[in-house]
Amino acid sequence: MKQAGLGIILYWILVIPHVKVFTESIMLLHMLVQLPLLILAGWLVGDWLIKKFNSFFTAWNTDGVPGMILIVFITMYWMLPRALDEAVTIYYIELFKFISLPLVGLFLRDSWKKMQTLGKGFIFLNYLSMFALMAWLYIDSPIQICNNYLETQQKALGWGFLVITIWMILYLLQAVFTDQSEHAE
Amino acid sequence: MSKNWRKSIAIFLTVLLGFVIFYAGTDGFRAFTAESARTYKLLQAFYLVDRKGYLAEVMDFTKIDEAANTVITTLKNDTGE
Repeated sequence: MKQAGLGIILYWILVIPHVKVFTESIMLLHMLVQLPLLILAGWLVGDWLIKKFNSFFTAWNTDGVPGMILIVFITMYWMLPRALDEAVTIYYIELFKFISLPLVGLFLRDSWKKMQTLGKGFIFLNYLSMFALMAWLYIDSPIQICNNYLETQQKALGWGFLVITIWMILYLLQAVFTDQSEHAE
Repeated sequence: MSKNWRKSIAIFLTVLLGFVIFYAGTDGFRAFTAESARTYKLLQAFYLVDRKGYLAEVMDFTKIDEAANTVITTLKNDTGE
């Protein structure tokens, strides 16, 4: 319940007009701070909601696959340059952002623990390649991709994606080349 | 059995919802940036009419497939006659 409270507080902080405008004014903050924090808010509230509607999640998200498919589609949509642009200019896209991303967090909390190791590995590698692709797209693009953000901002975002990709690769390497037997027990 | 049935329905619905989100969000998988969406909406409003009354959308010229081929062939034939 404490986590749910934190999630609700975080969500309301992100909705405050000044915070919203500030986070959306810089492309890097919009994509790599606001969107993940909305997911985090949903993830924090998720524990309480999953317990409250346990029968629904058990029946319809048995092994976490449907929830994970929804997560992949929604997050992929929010990686489109157009989605970021329209979230700033069109009110219903903005509304969709503030509804869909907390839902991602909610389903992530329910689905991740239910997924099998192979599925988790697939999802992790899928996001690794997606982030690397986004890094390449935003750093190397010779034109301005988003109408609301300058080319320098899109390059900064690209470098942000590259840093995340490198961290993911390092995490993967340590998971593969270090002894995980203690964790498995 | 019931869980498998529900799982299949849930997967189908989530995939469908995902495609709907992408279809609606990209003007039918055509515009992935705000600028291309703007261009697409602008070009949709323009038509070319040849002397025989054949109506061609300007958008058709941007497609490198049968649409452009058909339009160009028709316009060429009409001009030749």
